[in-house]
Amino acid sequence: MSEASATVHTTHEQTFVSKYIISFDHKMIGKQFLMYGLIMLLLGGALALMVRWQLAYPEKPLPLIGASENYLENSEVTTFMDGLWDNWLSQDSDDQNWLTKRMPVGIITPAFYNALFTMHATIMVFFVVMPILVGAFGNFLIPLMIGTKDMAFPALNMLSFWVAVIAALIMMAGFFVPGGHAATGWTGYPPLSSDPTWTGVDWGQNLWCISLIVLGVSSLMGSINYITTILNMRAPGMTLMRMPLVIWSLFIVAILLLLALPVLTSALAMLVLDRLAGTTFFNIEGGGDPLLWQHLFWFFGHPEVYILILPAMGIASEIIPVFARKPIFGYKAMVYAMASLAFLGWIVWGHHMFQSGMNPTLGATFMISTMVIAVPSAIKTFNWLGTLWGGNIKFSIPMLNSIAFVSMFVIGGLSGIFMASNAVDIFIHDTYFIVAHIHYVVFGGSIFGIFAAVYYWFPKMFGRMMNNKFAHIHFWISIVAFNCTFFPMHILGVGGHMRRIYNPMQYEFLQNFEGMNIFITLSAFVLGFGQLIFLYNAFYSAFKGKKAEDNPWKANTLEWSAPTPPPHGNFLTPPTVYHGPYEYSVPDMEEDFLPQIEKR
Amino acid sequence: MEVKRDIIPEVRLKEKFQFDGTDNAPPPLQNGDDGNNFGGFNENQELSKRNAIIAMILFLGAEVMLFAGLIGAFITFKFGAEVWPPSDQPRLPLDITTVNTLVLLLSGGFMVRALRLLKSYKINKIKNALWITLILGIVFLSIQGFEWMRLISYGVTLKSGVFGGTFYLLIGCHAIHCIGAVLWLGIATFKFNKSSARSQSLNISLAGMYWLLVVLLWPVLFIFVYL
Repeated sequence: MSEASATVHTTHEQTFVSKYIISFDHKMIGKQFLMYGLIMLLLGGALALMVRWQLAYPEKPLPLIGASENYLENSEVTTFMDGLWDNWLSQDSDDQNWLTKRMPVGIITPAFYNALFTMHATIMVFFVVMPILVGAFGNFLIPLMIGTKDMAFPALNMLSFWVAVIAALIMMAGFFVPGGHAATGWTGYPPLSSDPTWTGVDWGQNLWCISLIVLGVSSLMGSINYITTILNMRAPGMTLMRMPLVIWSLFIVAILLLLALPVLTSALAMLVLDRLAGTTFFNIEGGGDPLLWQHLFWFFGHPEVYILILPAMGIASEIIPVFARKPIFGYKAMVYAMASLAFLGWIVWGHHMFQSGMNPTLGATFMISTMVIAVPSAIKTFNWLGTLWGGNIKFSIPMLNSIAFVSMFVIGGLSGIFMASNAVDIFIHDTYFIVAHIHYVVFGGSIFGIFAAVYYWFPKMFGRMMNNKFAHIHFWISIVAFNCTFFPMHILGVGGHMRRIYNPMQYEFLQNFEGMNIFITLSAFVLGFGQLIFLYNAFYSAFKGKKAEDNPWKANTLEWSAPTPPPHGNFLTPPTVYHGPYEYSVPDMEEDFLPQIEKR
Repeated sequence: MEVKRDIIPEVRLKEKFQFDGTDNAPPPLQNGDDGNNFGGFNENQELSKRNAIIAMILFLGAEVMLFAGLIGAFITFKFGAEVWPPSDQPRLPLDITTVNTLVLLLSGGFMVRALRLLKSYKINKIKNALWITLILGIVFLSIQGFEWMRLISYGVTLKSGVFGGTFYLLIGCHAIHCIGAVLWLGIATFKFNKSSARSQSLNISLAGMYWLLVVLLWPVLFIFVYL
């Protein structure tokens, strides 16, 4: 019998392509999404550093690739780059290469600057945080943590990844079309975005729209898969209220994605038609309404914010109890808080539009509904603190990053309350205060959540531990440089520093911020290069790290009961769940943890 | 010992050598469970059938949100405008579209009848209901297409301001869904016969759900756009 089964299963042997490229295995698809996100993170980070360079040293050549001072002043070729620039710029303007059109002698042109900050935000939101948090960890964790073999629709899962790759390729193509990439900010407000005459961007903006529509299809497939899997494929005994909080967060995020992205798709379709087919949805002359775009975009955009932060909240809720060796404080409150955050996310979109000329009475309604968000957010924060309180805390690397997540999220959340106030928003709207807020929530929140998750689940993903020394260096560089970069932006914002301006030195009242801008830029470079340590650590450890045990953190959830790394099919025996996921320091037990598959 | 025949060899090896010391025996196998079915995909037909139905419902939810965005835009224009339709634009054909609405609703009625009969294995009755559904759907599409041609000749185009733009976007989006649903349902009906009734009934249910979405969206669009 065993020989027969052996021959049957040789047909299952996987080739390189079926194992690593067209894989149907949720774990491999998760890793693919992780790789995809990390590559895009490098690109998005590089764009951010170029933006920062321009703000601190306006209209000075970029370091390394720019020409030297001597060349700019006397046209004398002294360095290697001087020679290259001299050669490139001496050609006819038609023949000049990609770099010379966008940054002659290394100085970023205003048009390219607009494309830089637009693409930085677009890439970070749609191609880094969403693929890593939702794509990578959603795929990797959901089947393992609810105790099933794979997703409900493995083929749909594979398609979802490859459609996302196509979307990324379309987005990248925008950098190389004539007229440059989209340059209207990631929000793409018309009429700037609906008519090529304003920005001079032609196909860049079209490709931006098309890429996001394609990405919407990918997310739709992913979210249908997640919800179906969680609803219908749970192991025996895994009731909804026994699910780990990270699965709850991914479940809620999948619902948000499912219902929010089609609205963006409808708006993008209208924008593309305006640009290509001559409709006038957002053009006043043809009877259209530019505000309509803002309503539709933010109706999607605010749930999108929760799509970015909720999985990180779930990750922190997962890691903090493990390293505090305590049950999570208020499991049900955590679930209901996440659900109410998701619900409130639908009725607050107008707070992005206080200054748009919207009806002020409507503004007051949106102000109140936005302030209400503070309640579930505070419930979550205090529950994390309650979990830490009196715990036997181990400051391991995932724990440090989770605590950083909680702290940075609190700062970002509090600055959010300022902006929610209609009156205060008149003053700080479209200033660096907003930039500081979004980065505290998305970098301080989501990206630290990603770090925590990668450090925590790396042993299960790759079967090896990450290097602890590098991880500590990376963490301390990140947390210090992050705060040095983004905290001063609050001060810039209150000082009236507008976001998205090309050269702050053109404004007299911003000239005394030059020092602060330089400080922010230097911190940003430290922060950016600090991430290389993380990438090096991840790639090095995936091949050469210390072999991991099955349950290195002594955690309860189901994925730690599977072998490391989990085989095809995940579990050796079908798991049965006997209790909730946070049974730590149970009295009268030898061990201080009780895996979900073990009976008390 | 039959129960373990499907466990792959590498897993069995691991089980032998890495049984990490804990003495929690696997839970007893249920009747008819060969130990390889847990949360299973493919093996368990009932489960994958339920998965497909849930996924279809979710997909329809996403479709409704897509139309919600488009209808929201339409409402903004219609109720924001002083005169609607704009004075230089022709009226939409109300009479024939009302008849057409009834045709589509009737088609939805036959679809419901087919879905109700689906479990009874009365193959001929089901097939008849499905064919009537399809024919009525195609009649609806043809009348719509004919009316479109007339409207275009009267000067309602994508470029003739938001009136034409929203009309073609909203009604066009519905028409594309309608064409897709007719094709899917047509292929499913064509494949559906006595020998394939069991395997094809899921396909019919899914296509039927999709068709019902198309049918039920139409009265909403009709009320907003035509009345």
